[in-house]
Amino acid sequence: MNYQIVIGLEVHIELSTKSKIFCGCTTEFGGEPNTHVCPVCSGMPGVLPVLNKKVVDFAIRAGLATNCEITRYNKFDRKNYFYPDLPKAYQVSQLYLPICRNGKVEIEVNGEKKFIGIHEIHMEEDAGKLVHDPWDDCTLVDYNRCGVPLLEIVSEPDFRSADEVIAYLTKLRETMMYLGVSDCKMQEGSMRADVNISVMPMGSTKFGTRTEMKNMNSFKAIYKAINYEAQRQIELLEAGGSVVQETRRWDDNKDASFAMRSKEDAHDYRYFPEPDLLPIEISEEWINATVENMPELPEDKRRRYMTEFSLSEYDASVITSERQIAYLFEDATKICGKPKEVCNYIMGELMRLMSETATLAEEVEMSPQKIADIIELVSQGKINRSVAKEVFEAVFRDDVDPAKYVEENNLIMVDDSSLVEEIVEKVIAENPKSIEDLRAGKAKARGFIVGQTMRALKGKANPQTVNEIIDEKLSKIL
Amino acid sequence: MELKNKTALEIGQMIKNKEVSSVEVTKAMLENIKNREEKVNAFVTVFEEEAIKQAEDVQAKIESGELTSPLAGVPMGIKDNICTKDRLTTCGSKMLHNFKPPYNATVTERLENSGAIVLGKLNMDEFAMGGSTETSYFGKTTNPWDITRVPGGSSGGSAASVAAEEVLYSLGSDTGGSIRQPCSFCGVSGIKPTYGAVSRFGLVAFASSLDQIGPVGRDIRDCAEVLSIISGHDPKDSTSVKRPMFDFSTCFDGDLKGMKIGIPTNYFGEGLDEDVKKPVLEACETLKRLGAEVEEFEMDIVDYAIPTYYVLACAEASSNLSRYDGIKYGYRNRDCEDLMDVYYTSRNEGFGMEVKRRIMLGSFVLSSGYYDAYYKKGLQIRGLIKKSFDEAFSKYDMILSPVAPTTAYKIGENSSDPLKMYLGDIYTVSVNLAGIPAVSVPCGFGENGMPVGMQLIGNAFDEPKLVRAAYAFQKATDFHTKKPSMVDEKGGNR
Amino acid sequence: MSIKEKLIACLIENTGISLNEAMLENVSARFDEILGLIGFNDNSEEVVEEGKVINVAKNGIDDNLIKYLEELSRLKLSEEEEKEAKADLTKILGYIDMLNEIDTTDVEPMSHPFSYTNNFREDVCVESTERELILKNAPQQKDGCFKVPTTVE
Repeated sequence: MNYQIVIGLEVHIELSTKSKIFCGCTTEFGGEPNTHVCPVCSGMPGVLPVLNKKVVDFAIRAGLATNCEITRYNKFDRKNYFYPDLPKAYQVSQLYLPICRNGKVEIEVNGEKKFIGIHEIHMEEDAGKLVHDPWDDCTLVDYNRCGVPLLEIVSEPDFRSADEVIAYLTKLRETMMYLGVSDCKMQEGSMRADVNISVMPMGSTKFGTRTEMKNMNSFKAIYKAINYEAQRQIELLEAGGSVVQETRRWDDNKDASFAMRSKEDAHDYRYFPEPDLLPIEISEEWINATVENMPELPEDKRRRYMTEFSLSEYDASVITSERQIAYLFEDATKICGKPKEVCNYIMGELMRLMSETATLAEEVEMSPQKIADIIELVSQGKINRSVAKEVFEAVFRDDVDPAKYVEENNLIMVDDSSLVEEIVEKVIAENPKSIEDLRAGKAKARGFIVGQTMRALKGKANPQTVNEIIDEKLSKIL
Repeated sequence: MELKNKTALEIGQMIKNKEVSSVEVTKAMLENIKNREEKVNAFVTVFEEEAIKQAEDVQAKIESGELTSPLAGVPMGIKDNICTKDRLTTCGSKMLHNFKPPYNATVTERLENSGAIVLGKLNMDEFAMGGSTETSYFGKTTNPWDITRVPGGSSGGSAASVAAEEVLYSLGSDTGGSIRQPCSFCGVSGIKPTYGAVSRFGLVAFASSLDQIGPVGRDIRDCAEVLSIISGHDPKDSTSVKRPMFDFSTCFDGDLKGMKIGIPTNYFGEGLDEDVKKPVLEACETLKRLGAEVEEFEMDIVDYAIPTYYVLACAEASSNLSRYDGIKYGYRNRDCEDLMDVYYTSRNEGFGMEVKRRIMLGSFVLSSGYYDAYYKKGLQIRGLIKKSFDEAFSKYDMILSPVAPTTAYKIGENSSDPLKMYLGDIYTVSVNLAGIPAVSVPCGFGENGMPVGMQLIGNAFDEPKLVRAAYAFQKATDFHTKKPSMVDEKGGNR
Repeated sequence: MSIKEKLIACLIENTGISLNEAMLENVSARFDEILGLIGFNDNSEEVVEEGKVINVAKNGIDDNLIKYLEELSRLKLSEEEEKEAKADLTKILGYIDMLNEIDTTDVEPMSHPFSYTNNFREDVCVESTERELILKNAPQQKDGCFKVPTTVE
């Protein structure tokens, strides 16, 4: 029998506010254990939460970008369960009236477009971190992450393949980074997903029993886990068994998922409205102001780059795939007015250097001004293109000043025709074999003459001048 | 220097006039504590040395003109569920028997900044759950009028310490009557402020949507002064309301002309002791004499206040008390093998039976399958109760009622029957459900010689009106000046 | 009770017809068919609750429920306490049942005693508390962390 895979996602993203959701502690990643903590986020008796307004702003932004309805009157609820990483023994979240509902996100897989429904987006607080101490056979509790604001984006079970899931996650990540609401660093856990998977016979409309894999934080693992789990369920059904609803843990080292020991009191979270926080009322003006301040989303940028700057669809999508790169492109273009040139340096040099040095987009420290400077040096004839590449690399690695670098390393383009003439004559005299080849019709030999000339001029010559003079000299002797 | 029978404001004035120093008053009060605690047990912790040190500092600041509050230098006590920085805050529970918060409650901060001398922390029912101060891990508090009787609760220590003249005023907290009922039982005055008038930051939560901190004092004027110090918006409490400060300055002329007072007939029906009914109805006559118009009316929905209250309060409590898990602070059983052990044994041994009962009741009404039938229903009836108060206040300036159905009962009399205990809150809980203010002031004595209080209930933020009426009543009567014989050998009420 | 059982009970109650075994089997099979057609999946949350949900008003708090409440509350009562708690809670819940006398159709649940909304703070960092103070009250600590018995699965 053929089976249909059905997947739903709950994606958590940590918001990039400066302070936590209910207190003034920093949200900065890392730090010594329990140093980003105060009585409020460590759940001491008698303390009270006060909501960070930025969290609401960011949630509205995220909701608008995913075509959600904004719930004008929304509230927080308490989700009650005991675990050492949850100091109050309840998580402040939103169940009854989440801030965003009924959205959709368009994805494209193999040229086919499709909408994924967003059931809701709600605001909540992150939990702390538990570290096992093998020496002492105990667990150590660190509350630094406690109270970092999260958005949970709950999709409808609309995915039918792992590819669709990855396309959606990529789009979501890109969007949230562009909105500036999250840095979505998977490795730091600031974007992670709970994946619900079930299978049903092809053509059926009745969903099978689902299993859940929580806190997955790499696209690769998610992809593998979905296919593994779907296969496991299918094999189980084929063998006449049935799927048990459970939470499973994906082990990336073993490439397999394992059932987790079920929690003792299964999911009776006893949600109720959080009495310590007031309801949130979102006015028309608030939404309008958010719309006005919305950063341009990647799709809009892509379209604009194609029309306004005549970039190809491919170039536009590569440049917009990371927010920092897109802004670098736009800012450099604004300064020098040469979008094609900027695009070429980014697509060629920058991307190459990033991959060679394993640098992430957010780690690139090049200023748009320096990129524009390099382009300017080329167009003014101060340096040639190959020197420009060298300068670009020096800026990328050591953040040098392009003009100064060119000057200090004596890289100004040689455009002195008498000097070039002298060198060309010398090269011709020293390479009689090449001249013979040329006479014999081997046109390739000309390239060798050009190369030797450039080399003698340390690569700094104006290639046009070199070509002209070589042509002139050769025409005389051939 | 005679300090007996003085109000907090009078003592404050004497300190200002240099008739007595803050240190002298503090020492005198510590002496009273030493002499009476054995009988009363109003304190969980006494800050003897710290208080004298504090009094010296405050005295210097009064003399230098830095502190000008009318209550600067006056010794007082704080209920033990209100956080005092680096000083024990136990909530009357084994669970927090050793807990010293690294922060002050906002009310503690405000009082200390205005020169209050904190003599210690006052006993209470464990986690404020009870009406008799019998459930404290630190022993029962007794009623200074008759030490075989309860002082009421949960702020039993707050009321008993004022009645026994161990402090000049105190802070209590009121979730379902916990300030008003002990005030009635101990013959002192108290205010349960409007929800949101006083910051709850640093008040160890019982039921967050019902809890309010309020003052207990010798008379309503002391209470009003304390309330004006502790009230006002606090950026640390989202539920504290941004509005102008209370202005009590015009409340003390003793005139009640034009004041309309409603009396809900169902508050005076079955279940109300004659001992209480008589003085309250007499008080009603006094108010009329002072110019108030009094009218009876029906308010049937409040008959449902008790079940509504216990559903909502226990639900919130079950969640609020989940943080006591033996991990971050408080009691932990030392011999725990695994994590579940830490939870189960610490909580089971750290909490008393009444607390456990309420936690389980709260877990029940919130649990899957019962939420709508109990919790949601409770929230809906809460809305109806609020609505009926709104209607009443469209006709009346305030409502007069008893505080409790009985006078102080014998220790142990009600402690074996939780439901009977709960029914003692019948006249007070609806005020918390509606989030409105009420005062409790002495209005007479029962046949058994025990004090009786009356309750005046006002509309939200109408505290000045209540203070005005209570002041006029106290100006015309002397019930609030009576002392138990423990304080004044010539005292007693007859 | 599964949805199917509830439906059958409802059917019997409303028609007043008592079903013999053959009829019951027939009805049951048809319900299966219908539930299948509408894509109803009866093996989710309900299963978790099995044995825990009972009709309190009718039966009082029974052993299963009291154990369940202890579990939810992370409490472990002694046998004596359990007996007492069962009796007390049954009595209290019986009293609370009087709430059902009031019709609350269309009444908005009131979770806060007032109508204020929107009390925020700005996104500004303030100094965190010294770690020593955070850990000061901890029964056990190690390396700047709260220490608990191991939690690994």
